[in-house]
Amino acid sequence: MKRRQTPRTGWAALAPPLAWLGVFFLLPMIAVFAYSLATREPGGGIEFGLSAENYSRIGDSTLYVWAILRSLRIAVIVTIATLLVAYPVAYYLALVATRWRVTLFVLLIIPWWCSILVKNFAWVAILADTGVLNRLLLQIGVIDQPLKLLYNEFAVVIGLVHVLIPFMVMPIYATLERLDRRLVEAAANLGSSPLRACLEVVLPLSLPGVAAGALLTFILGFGSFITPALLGSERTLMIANLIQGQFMEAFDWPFGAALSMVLLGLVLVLLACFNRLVGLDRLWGPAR
Amino acid sequence: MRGRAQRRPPGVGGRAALRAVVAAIYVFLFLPIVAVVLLSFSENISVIDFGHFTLRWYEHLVRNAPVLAALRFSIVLGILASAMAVLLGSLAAFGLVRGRMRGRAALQAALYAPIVVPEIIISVALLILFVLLRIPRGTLALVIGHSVLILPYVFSIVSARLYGFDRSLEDAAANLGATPMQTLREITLPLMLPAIVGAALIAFKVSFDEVVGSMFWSTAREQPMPVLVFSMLQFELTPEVNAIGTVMLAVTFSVLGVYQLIEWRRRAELTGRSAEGEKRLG
Repeated sequence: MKRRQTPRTGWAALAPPLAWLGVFFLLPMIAVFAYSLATREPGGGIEFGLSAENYSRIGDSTLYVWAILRSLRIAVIVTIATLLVAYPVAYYLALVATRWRVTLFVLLIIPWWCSILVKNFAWVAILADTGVLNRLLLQIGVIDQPLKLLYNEFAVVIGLVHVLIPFMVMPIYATLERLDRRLVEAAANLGSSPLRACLEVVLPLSLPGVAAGALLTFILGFGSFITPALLGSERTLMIANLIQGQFMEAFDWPFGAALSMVLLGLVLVLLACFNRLVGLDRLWGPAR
Repeated sequence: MRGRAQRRPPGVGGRAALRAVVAAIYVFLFLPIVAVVLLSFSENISVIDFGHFTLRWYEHLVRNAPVLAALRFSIVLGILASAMAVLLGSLAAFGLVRGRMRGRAALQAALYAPIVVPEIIISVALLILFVLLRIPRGTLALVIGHSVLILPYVFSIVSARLYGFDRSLEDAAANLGATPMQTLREITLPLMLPAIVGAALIAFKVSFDEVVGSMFWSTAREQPMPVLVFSMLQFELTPEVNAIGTVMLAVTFSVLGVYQLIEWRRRAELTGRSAEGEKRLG
């Protein structure tokens, strides 16, 4: 049967959304790039040009270099911690759980959908000096001084891991679910222990899912703004907080734009590597 | 040999350990959220006191004019932005799934781009554009910004359903003499309606909880709820914030609940229909 929809009607339907994203997504990215090459005039205006001054200012300032390195370090720690926590959950959901599978799946989606703001400030109530956890520990006598758990890197990492677990579980689950279970049985039949079968058969086959989850977690952690703002301190500011400061407090937009381009550049490099090694489809499924 | 073959990974002891680890992770996931809800009914900000539940903080909320205004604004913004995103996202899904053009993988990547670029970058980039185009911060800027951020969600939901769409129904309509427009109106759109409504609900939810972009695009007078909550949190965590958080969770879950109901109904209808068909054939 001949279908009436052709590439031409397809393009007609695609034109409005693509135009919308062109004007309100792509064009703004170009504008940020243009701003990052501009300079501030003494009067407060912007002079567009091709100056690399803003970029060299980032390199000259230890504050900004440290913040970028700190953001990278936090993102790496968060990605590894989230992977260690998420893998058992994905493994259990895909290969072990039977009766409880659907329930556990729903129970994973519920916290995923909760507002990130709520999920973050919940940790303030738990980790504060007079918070739920410290009160409990004081009461049972494990400690006699409240532990400093909040407004430091530890709190930022906990908050981010808590938010990002589902982003890691989902892609790993998707690869494990499609895994041919007969391979595991074959490994067992050939005499390998369950742990060895898991490490040598299941783990390698799930690596594309791990890569997709790690990519999402790393990007979201690296660019995170809310969590370091609520759970961190002046000393744990991440790159997104510095960008916000330049735009909303220091009003040095060209410099803020240069910082944004550094963040965007690193993310694009990661996405390109991922596309080369695994394929971007893995994040959202192939265009059939 | 046989015993070993029947054993599934990991072994019995290993499986108990795995179960304990998974249970602990679920506790970790839920503990903070449950704590917020319980604390919102508690007299003391840091003590979950099961004996003394109070609605005091909610009574404070009901009399807090800025909070109510922000809540109202968030709902209006969510409706406007998701309407925009549903229109554009559905068009994109139809175009990409039905038009069998080249370079669809690249087009798809472009449509998903707003969810892989860090939010802070989209936030400042659009702010710069708004300044250049002389679009003031406030409702219009927020609707535009949110529509960009939530478009990928709509596209994802609608295109997933379109891939599974039974096109023989459209062919039948065409064979019976329906024009392409009639087929679209009478067959395609009604069948796609649950997916489109579902996409609208998810889009509303994402807009309702959006923080970073909203901070950059709003003004003190036209301010969505999460931005107000964020600025309240800059000072301290009050029991009232716990109550607002609980209200926000309640809105989220009502929206998701409706989404799930639509899904269940659709599934039930599908299985009902195929069972009926089998009966007729039998």
